[in-house]
Amino acid sequence: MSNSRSLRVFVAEWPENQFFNLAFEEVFYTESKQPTLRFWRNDKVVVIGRFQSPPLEINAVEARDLGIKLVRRFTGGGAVYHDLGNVNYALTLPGYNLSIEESFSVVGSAVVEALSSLGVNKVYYRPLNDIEVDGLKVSGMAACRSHDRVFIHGAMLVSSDISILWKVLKISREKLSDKKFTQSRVKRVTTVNEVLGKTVRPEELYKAISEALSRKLGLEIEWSEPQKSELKKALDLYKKKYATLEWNLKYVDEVRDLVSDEEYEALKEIARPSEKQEKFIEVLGLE
Amino acid sequence: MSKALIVCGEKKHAGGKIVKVCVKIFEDLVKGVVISGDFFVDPAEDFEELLQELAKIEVKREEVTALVSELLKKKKLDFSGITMEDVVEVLSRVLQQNQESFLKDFSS
Repeated sequence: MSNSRSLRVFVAEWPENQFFNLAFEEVFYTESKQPTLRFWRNDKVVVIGRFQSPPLEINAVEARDLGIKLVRRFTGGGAVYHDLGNVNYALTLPGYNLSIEESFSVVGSAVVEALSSLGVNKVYYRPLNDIEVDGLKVSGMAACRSHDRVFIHGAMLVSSDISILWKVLKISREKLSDKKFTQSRVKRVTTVNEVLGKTVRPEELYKAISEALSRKLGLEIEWSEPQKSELKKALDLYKKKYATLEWNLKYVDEVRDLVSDEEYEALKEIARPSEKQEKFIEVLGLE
Repeated sequence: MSKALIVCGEKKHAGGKIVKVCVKIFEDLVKGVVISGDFFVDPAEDFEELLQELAKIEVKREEVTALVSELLKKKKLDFSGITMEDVVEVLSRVLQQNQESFLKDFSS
């Protein structure tokens, strides 16, 4: 049995099905019984914040043509692009009472420490929720809290194809051509590999981040794996929520008149799993 | 028959996050308000409830800002990255628009 002074850590990922990845993330938040850290990756997807209206954020036609999916997460914040070159970290802290700002600061400073330990220079936490290297964003975080726990997750660009990001996120397309916005609105980004000039393996990052967080929280690392019961709950949530248009395309109907029919069709296609992805879930054998 | 008009606007809170507001106007009635953006709100569930209410709102154009402002205050929401005043400001500026617009920028 694990003790309360330890930090449970595992890699739990299903890059083939982004909808399931996000379903598991919510179960990970609500069900973790002790401080737990998850690392995971997604294949090509735009993950939007809980309060975002998809047509205001994403070029759906472009995304569909590039084979990119769309999933809404349960935390606030902005749209991010994930591919296999992006590493996600997620931390659930049951029994901790931290504000959103404090949560960002704890995890942000640990991630900075982790990157420094890997040789990244000029890396710092930039409130509210960014980690930057010499003015360029390398990781963004999101968080939420409830009466008995806090949750923080972040996406870190390690070797992602950044050019895709500008193609599918709406703000950039409209603002990039306008000089007034290029500095102030379009945040410039970089990747870990780019700043280090070498390839960093995900495992190296997992180790560095867990060690930094374990020091910060005063908890001992205990490598673990998700429980079958957690996976079953994730499957349930996948079916009821994350694989549905009702959840992913929330706040679309209200602005439907602004969306062309082609764009609307594209949105409906990218915001739910493909047949192949549904099959992938079946073979997990969780039922 | 006249068509509903949707007007949208956005504002970036200095050094913070962006709030986007869209309003559906039909003649002199507002039939739905959408608040979107990359900010954080605690408690999220209470804000979501408010968004559901706002999506179905039906109120005179000149009364909507006061109403939304009151609803926001009643919920006691804790915004991070933007303020409640930002939301109300974008809403009131959006309502002054008379042409369909996609995210007109109101950042100062």
